[in-house]
Amino acid sequence: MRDIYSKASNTIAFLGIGWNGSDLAMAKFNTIGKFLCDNGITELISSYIGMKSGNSQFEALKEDLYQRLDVQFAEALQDLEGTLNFMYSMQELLSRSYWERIWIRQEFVISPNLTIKAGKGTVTVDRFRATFLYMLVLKKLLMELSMGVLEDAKQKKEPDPEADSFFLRTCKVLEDVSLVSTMLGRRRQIHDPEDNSSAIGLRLMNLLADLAIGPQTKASDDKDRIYALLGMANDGKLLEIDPDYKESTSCEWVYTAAARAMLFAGQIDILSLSQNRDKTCGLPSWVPDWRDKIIRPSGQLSKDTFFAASGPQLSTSKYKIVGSNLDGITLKGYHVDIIEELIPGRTTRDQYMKEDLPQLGKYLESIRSLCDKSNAKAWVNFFEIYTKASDRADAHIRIPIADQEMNHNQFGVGGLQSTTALSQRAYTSLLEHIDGKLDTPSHAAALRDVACYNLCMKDQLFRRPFLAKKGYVGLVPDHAKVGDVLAIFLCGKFPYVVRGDGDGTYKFIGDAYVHGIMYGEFTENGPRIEEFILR
Amino acid sequence: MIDYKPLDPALKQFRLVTVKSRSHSAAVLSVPVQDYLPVHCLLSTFSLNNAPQYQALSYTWGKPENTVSITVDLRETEVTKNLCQALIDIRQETEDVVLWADAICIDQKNGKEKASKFP
Repeated sequence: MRDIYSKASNTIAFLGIGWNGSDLAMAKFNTIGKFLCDNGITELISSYIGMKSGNSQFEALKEDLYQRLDVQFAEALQDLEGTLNFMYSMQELLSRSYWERIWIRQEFVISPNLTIKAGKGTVTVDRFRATFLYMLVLKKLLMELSMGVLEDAKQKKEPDPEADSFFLRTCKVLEDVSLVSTMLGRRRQIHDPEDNSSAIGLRLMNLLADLAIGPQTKASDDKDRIYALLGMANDGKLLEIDPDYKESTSCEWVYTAAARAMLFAGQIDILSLSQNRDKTCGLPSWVPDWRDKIIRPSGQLSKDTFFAASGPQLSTSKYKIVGSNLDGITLKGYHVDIIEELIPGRTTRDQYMKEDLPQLGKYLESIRSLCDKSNAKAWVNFFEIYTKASDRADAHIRIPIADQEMNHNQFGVGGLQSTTALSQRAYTSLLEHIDGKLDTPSHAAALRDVACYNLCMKDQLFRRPFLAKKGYVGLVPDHAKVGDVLAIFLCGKFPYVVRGDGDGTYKFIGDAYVHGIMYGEFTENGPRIEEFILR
Repeated sequence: MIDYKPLDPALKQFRLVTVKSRSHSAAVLSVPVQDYLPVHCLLSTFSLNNAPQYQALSYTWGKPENTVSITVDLRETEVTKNLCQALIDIRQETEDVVLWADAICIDQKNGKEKASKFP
């Protein structure tokens, strides 16, 4: 199958029937896409989207880009509803059931030449990508502008419901485009020899992660959740996974063998996707269940994270695995601490409404109280677990967001960063907001800080704060229990929670944010290495 | 039903479907050329290293019970509505189109061929 697609002169991605709207949209994709491709603007947009904002390089790029898109932007702003409709037309195409089938990922990614087709309308993938990226920039522009209008209205105390509704609709359009951006990105990694960012992103583990965290996919055979990605993965051969559709070979066996192969290859953080909780799904606790929705690990996907719990020697350290038997695997690592106290976490999505503020206040307060208890432990034990004094001072601010901060100007564009003064400020403002002190227009800037902080807190849903015996504080999966062990495995970027089974083996629980050890601090002085048998 | 002849894995054989043009279909039925004429196809076997230029189709089957009939090698055969729609939209006015489409080019009744996702 892989060969058939890679040898075809062209692959047609048929999204389904056309209608008036989709025909017009495809025609427009061709015009705009051609303009962007012919003038070399696509790559400019691509780097703009991937770049962290807030520095001079970013501002220069933005200025250059806006200048080159001057005419397009002017046109787009002249007819706001038309522009929004143009973006809806893309959204409509991206919501077609075409995208749900698991095999299309491989077909879409490995085909050297690809055209997208809906009805009679056809557009090359290059133009499609250019238009898609352009829309993301357009969305950002519209949001910036309408935020400005809204702020003006607020200042003048003259509500502007029209601008309000436009802003909301702009937020919603093309809100979740992770699947198509991932697939377009993968295409470039495979077909553009100059793109060297590929090696890691194209590992089977990362392809699986994208699949599991993205929208639900349909697979006629659950084994295909792995097999359909092998053709794209650059480590398929190394992992020695061969498709086996025999009925006697169970899906559970396939998932276990694949997880074991990835662990043996040193990709320890495949564990961050093992979230079987306490379900009986026929899999060992350390094997991800690809049939199930998997939530983003606390520290993001391992290819994107800036955490390095096991230290900087990540890829070179050998012998991180000593052996494995039928359903178990033995990992080498460090015993960090034992969970002593857990407090309730936050579990629903829309908790940042006004009426939920008191509850949020309590949540933050309970984290502060865990930090206070940790301070007390340091006093009593005459032992400082943190390597930096600031870690202790900022713990209560950095833990609710697992030390990951989003910059103001991102709008979901660009990456996260370690917390800075922004989060410090945001935290203070948030406490004032909870006390009801921030409702006047003059506090707009502070409220924007708060919004960024809240967004990052949302990434930590389904986790609960803990205090451990030595005084470590952080976030663990919400099914963790008192007595569970915090461990760092060699080559792992995240700390993990495991539960002793009483017979020397452990049940795997999930990934964790443990404040003060995420950047390799714990391993600095060469603590004793132990073996953990996971089952 | 399509009469599939077995493929030779040693030669990396696979099948390609030629979708006949609208004017061909119109001529067969002696009707004016139009969009929604029945689809006429021919199926041939090639070795992967020796195949003519072809386009590959990436699509979703749609509901398996939702089928319509097309003609492959003069025999009526059922394909899902979504595939038929794709063939209609890809079909050209006067030129034939050579295509690989899994539902037609793989013998769905042959478990071995299906499982090997050959070649």
